[in-house]
Amino acid sequence: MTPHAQVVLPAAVLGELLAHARRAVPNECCGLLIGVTSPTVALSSIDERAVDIQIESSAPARNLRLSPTRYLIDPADHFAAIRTARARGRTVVGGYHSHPSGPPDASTTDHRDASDAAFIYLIVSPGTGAVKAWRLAAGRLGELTIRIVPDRECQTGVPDASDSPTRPAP
Amino acid sequence: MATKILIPTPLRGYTDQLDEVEAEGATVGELLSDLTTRYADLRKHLYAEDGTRRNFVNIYLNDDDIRYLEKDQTPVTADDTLSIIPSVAGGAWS
Repeated sequence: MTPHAQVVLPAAVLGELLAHARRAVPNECCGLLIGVTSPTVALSSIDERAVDIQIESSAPARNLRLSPTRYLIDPADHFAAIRTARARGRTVVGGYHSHPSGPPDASTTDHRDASDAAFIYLIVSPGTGAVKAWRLAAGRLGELTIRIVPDRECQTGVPDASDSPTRPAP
Repeated sequence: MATKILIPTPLRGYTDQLDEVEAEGATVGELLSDLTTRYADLRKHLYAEDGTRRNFVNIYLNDDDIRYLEKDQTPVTADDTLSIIPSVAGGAWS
């Protein structure tokens, strides 16, 4: 177990997030992140534990705010992402949004609206390509380390429910 | 009559880590009332002190947002599935 929580982000997924962010300019984009959290820990103690969060894919969502400075993920898209994740034996591990004209630092609004200690908030800046990950701890969003990996390293060893039963395990 | 309720990741800490539970009731409102009786710690995350449901909590019955059905009065059966979907929001650096 690593001493600090770490977010493992495939380069291809980061590319998708930045492409989404650039398409949405001047508005913010938003969406969900599907993956696995390892090891499984009690959510009530997640702040105190070191865990790795493996992001495997993204699910773009509609921004109901349609704003350059605000986002609200359409709950219907969130619901669809949860169902997609469950069908694959995964979970929605977090969400992402863009800061079109600023750094990917958690804003006052981000701090205020964050509500889930078990949820990762990824922020991307379409202009610079910068990305940072945040998670609520003690009432504030704290930054997490991101490890960007080539896609071939993104093997979690967790069976995918959508895989064919005859397909050999990775 | 028990109906299945799907619990999102952030709330599983209040349902003994279960991702789905069962509750009883003939309407959505009754189901949620039974759910928060069985898992009392969940109540403050779903409801404000005045008893109204928090506005960042979305409830789906099967594929439909209950706001577009009959809200808490929406009838449910044992074959239905209720899902709790928390809102995700924020905004840019300013």
